[in-house]
Amino acid sequence: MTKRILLVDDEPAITRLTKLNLERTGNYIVETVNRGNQAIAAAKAFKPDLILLDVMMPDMGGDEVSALLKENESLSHIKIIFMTAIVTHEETESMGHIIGGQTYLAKPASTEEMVDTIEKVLAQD
Amino acid sequence: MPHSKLLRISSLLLSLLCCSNSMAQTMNLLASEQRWLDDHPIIRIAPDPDFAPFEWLNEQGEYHGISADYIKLIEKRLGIQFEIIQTANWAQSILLAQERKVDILPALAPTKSRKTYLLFTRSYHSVPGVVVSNRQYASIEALKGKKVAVVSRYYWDDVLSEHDTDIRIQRVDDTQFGIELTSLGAVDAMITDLASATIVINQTGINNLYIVNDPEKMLGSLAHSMAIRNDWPELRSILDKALADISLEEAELIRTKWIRLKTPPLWLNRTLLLSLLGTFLAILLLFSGFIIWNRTLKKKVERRTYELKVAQERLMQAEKMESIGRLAAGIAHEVKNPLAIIRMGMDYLSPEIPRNRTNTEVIKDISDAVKRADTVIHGLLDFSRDKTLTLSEGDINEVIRNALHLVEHELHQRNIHTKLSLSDSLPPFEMDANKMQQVFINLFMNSIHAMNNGGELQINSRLDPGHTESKLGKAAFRSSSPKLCIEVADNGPGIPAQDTGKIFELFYTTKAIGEGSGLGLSVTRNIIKLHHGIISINNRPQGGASVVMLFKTTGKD
Repeated sequence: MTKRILLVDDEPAITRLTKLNLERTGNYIVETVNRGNQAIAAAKAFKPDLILLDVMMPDMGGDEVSALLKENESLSHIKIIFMTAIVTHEETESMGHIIGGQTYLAKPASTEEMVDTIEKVLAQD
Repeated sequence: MPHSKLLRISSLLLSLLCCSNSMAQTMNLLASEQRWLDDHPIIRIAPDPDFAPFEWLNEQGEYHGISADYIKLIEKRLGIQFEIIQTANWAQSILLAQERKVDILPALAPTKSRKTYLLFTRSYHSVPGVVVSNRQYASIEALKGKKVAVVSRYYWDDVLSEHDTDIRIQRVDDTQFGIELTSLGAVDAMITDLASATIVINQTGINNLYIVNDPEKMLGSLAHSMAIRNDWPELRSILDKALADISLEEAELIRTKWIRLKTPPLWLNRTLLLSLLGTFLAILLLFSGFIIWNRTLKKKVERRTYELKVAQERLMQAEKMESIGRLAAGIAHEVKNPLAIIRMGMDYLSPEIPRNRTNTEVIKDISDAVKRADTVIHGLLDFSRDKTLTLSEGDINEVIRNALHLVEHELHQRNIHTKLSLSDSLPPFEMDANKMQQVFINLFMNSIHAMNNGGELQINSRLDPGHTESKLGKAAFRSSSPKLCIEVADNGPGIPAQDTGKIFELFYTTKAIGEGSGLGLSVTRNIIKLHHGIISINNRPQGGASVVMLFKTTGKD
């Protein structure tokens, strides 16, 4: 059963390559946006099972997007994996490290690491 | 016999002696003399009311001075009391004596004119005569033709009048007036006695007078006798006997009581001495207070300076760390995104390209490059974020062994032996074990990379009494408490001499590309600092490098 994944990152190359790699596994349908403030509208329209959310984006950061999602009843159930470039070695020793109750994925993550983390988070409940 | 009893008896004896001494009968008065005294119950004396220090009457009419003390002694000896007749001045006193309205003038020097109506006892007190002037005459001879003051009808008046001199006599009413005239230059000099002159000069504060030299002793002394009306010869012999009975000690006592011919040296003046001592003590107190205050201040300044220096260093370090942190975050963001793109691009392309050895190698190279770049960024982030420690007491030896275990593979690969000398008697050390492990891994890896073709890694831990201080000499470690000392040494090539100052610098490395980021020692030193320790790296005399770390032991210092 394919899962719907919304990818939010300001870097078009990242969204394009991530979409290519994840969809090639055949397990995911991936929708991408490159601006934080497009994330809510995209989530409402696409109804993803999980959102891969970049932390540092110019107009609206990942934390802000996350807060808006949690405020919205129809969107608050959507699982989130934060992607960040700025985590220390210790924090990224294992993929999908949980910081403050949130799951983080350190860039640069390989497709394999990414898929493992996505499956782990989707399996939670 | 107890001391106090002895004292009491001796004082009793003394008082008995005194009593017997003062009794009239012990003076060997003739019966006729005693009878004469009995027949004359009232004997009047007329002192000079203003003739200090010899005699004077105070405002209450009480009789004081040298002659007064003699009179009191005589009264005691004879068991009688004289009647004191108060006069307005000396001239009046002597007039009363002439008229026999008084019987005794107690302080009078005999002169020819006085002897015409008075009898004189032996002299009982004398004081040198002096000539004072506001000019420096060579000698008394130089006064010929000069105007010289004498107190009217005093001894010196009579003496000058009786002798034929060229001196022009200026008679004055009292000594003070004469001295004042002399001081002002209204007269050329004044003849008086030393005691009177001293008293007046002291009282008036006159300070422009000189004593004229009298090498031939022409002036002589003023010798006081008691003068008695000349029809009472019995009284003279009685007074002579009484005066003879007065001991030298008593006479000296009276003299020293009233006359200080020499101004006592300043240092003998009790008040002055006390005030000097007081002043000295006050100054000493003030001075010591000042010194103590100064020292305290100095110490305070030193301490504050040190605190400020430390605070400044911390601030600079914090600022440095903050800017490094910002820089690291910026670099991480800007570099890691491209790295992510490369990695994911590799992930996407690798299944697409034909599988052959060359392609596989190229893909591996790209993948390794991404990993290497990622490691550098991680190191930078680690370095900038090593600001907090999770402290707990632990065994540093255990941390060393764990770190060693983690680099076992590298040690084996390069044929490196280890030589451990870990002290069993180390106190528990409060540390962040993970960060300390990172320190040891960094140091071990440095040594391993330095010993490419085999070697020996020496690690020792001990409780250091402090001898390494001088070598590492840091202010924070100038304390007597023992320190935890850990040394990591290798027998590699050591540190190039020109690089010894740079080894802790960020990104400094001598390692082959791919082996080191130049971050390890910076991170290491940072962690050591967070543990309030110091680290020093030196080349060993026998070759190789040695890293020494010192830490204060828990609960001490």
